Amino acid sequence: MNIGQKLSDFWTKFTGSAEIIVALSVSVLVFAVLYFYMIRFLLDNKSGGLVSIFVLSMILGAGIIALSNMNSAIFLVIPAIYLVILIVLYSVELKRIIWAHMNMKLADVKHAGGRSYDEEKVENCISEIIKALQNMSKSDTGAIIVLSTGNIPSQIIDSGVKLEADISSELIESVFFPKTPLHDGAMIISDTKIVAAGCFLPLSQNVDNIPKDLGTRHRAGIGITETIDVVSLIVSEETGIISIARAGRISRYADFETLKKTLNKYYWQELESVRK
Amino acid sequence: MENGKYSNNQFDNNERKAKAIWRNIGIGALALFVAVLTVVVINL
Repeated sequence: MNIGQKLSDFWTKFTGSAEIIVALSVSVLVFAVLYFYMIRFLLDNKSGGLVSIFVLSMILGAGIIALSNMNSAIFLVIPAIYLVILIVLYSVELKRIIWAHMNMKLADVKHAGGRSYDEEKVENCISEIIKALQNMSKSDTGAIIVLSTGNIPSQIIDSGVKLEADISSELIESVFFPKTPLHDGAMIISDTKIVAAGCFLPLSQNVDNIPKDLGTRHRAGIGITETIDVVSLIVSEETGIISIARAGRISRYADFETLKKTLNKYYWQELESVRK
Repeated sequence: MENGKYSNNQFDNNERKAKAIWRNIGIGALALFVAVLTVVVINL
């Protein structure tokens, strides 16, 4: 049977009864939704190339099946393979989506919103954080501070000790002072409060783009930014270098101006956008 | 805080939203095309 006849039979079948029309329309809708999320996910993860290959392989597969006498259900193998590739290659990103949309209740966001935003208090927080980071940098004290907009999953906060304390350089330095129980974990800051300290963060899975000389603390600092939209400030225990991690990337040698810019952006833009 | 900071952000946000909508329309059209292709092929 040639392709023209096949299509003509399909059209006859399609226009044959209302039930078939509904069934086919529902199938198109289901597939369209599945493909929409698949394509959007790939584009969000900078994998436009995979989208092109996917669409081309679907067109090619359709052509081969239409021209041969193969069972047309075999065509479904192509999207199935892509689905498996997507799950295997992007397990971390999928975890991030599950965390963000369905998963465990997120840590209480409410205290970030609705509070009167006192410019003086914010400036004080910024200067206290920078002071603490610079002091720890001078004394080669390892530290990791996560600036959250209330989007840290509650299991990460529960892995440490909840503080709900006002931000002060003395408290930050005390927490990270070596040999104290909380110094090895991460401190979570949300708004003008230190939410928790001693928290365990997921380590970065990216082995290619992280220099080999960076240790577990840096990998944890980067890891959390890969799965959640937060900023990590990391002080190296070996060198005292302050690094800033965001969206899975790390920039090292952060000076006063860079830190101030990052913290200003956090307080005046990122927290503001959460409030809206 | 300097004046105008919010208005710039507002402008950026509107532009970003418009871009996101067009992007979703593009992805939707592509997804619909591939979905129709799938349904036609498996029913041939």
